Amino acid sequence: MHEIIASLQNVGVYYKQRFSLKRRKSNAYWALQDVNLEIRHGEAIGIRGHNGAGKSTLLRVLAGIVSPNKGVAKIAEGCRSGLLTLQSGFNPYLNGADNAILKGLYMGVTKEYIQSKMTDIIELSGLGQKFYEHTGTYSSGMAARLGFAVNYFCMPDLLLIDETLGVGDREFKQKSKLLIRELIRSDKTVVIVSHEEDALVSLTNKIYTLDKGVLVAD
Amino acid sequence: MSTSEIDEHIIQRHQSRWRHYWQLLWFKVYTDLKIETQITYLGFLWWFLEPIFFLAIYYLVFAVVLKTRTPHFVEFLFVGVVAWRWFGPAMNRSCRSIKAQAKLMREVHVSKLIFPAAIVLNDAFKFIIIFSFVLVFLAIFHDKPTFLWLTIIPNLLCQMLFIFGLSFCFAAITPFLPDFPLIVQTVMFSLMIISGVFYNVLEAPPHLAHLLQFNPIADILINYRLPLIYQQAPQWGYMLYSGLFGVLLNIVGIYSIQKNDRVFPKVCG
Repeated sequence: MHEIIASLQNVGVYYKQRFSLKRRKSNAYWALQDVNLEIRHGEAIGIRGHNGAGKSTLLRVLAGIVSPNKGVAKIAEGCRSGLLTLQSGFNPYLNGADNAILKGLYMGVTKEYIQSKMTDIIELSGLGQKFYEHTGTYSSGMAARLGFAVNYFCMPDLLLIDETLGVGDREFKQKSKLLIRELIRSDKTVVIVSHEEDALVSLTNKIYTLDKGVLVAD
Repeated sequence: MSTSEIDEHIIQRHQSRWRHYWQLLWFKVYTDLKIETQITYLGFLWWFLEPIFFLAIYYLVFAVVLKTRTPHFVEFLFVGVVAWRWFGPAMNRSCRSIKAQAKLMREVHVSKLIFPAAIVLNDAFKFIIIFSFVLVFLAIFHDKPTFLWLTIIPNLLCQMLFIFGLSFCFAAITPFLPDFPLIVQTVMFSLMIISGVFYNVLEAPPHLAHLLQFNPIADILINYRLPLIYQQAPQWGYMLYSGLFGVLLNIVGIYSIQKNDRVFPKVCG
């Protein structure tokens, strides 16, 4: 058996609605209730659920972004967990290189590491000289390609994927989809949340269903 | 490119979390300054034009219209306006700093201390450049520099501590109280009035001056002006007071941000 790299015990998370004098009832909304989950190194876990079932909150707890209001969330010492965020976070007034460094630093790797990966990032994103121009001049496809390339080279130990498997134009969508699938099939530890039933079945070893904040194993 | 190729290059991680935050903080300060000079036409020039503009307005009102008797009023005003320009804008910007990063905070976990700290350091950089010009101006048009000028270094550190501390406290409040930036604006304006930017607090009746000096910003301004303009030693007791006040604010502010580090992404939704 591989070592446990993340575990959730009776985890509950609530969001508070804004304080109102008119509302008398409790203003807490539980997005997750008594969730128990153990993730071992190398596992690929799939989670299905409707919109608003608490999938994104679950990933945020695993990424260490929010703390549970109830129960215990543990992530192994030295394990970097992170959401695969492809579309976001670029400043339009900075060039691709500066944006790549900033994003990598936010993802927890060193500046020196990202700088050493610049050629690979340019190659994978296929941006060429455009990489040194402001990202504000990029098309949304170009920005997605840069986002994917930075994510790919700064990959966390516990990879959390929310819905999208491919980004960019048709050709790049295929390429990124293949790369993600390859990552999932390798010994990466992955938690993937998706509506695509087929994708979950073919890519993961365990599938859970999340319904109104309650997690059930299939 | 395959996954095995990535595995060959073991991702170089930060040995220490704080070293990582330190690297992120400085890179963020660098990129923020870069963006600032690029998105405006005046860019870098505006850092200088803004205090000169305020200096001209205050001079017109207080020296020409109200005929103030404060000696060396231009120098007095110049030091006050430039030192204040570090407080005011830094406070107004840093109180929104954590809330403004709501989207990023929902995607990655990063210490929220970085956001207000980057703003304070960004403004500190501008302050040091402009303040150096004030010192050159004083050396040319006012009086030769003396050893007493060195006492502005500890005073500058006290100011830095105070600004960091207050920024952390303000940044921690706004996510829970969205109206807080409006309150801060009013508070900062009132503070500017009582801190003696354009009048000398020490010229007030003694009991009132003593009361006004409870405000650490007033003490910091006095301790810049005494050595630079009047060739007098700073008020060491008040300098210590403003420094300790800054330390206290830092303890409260850092504790509040750290305690809510994983709560902010939920309340900033």
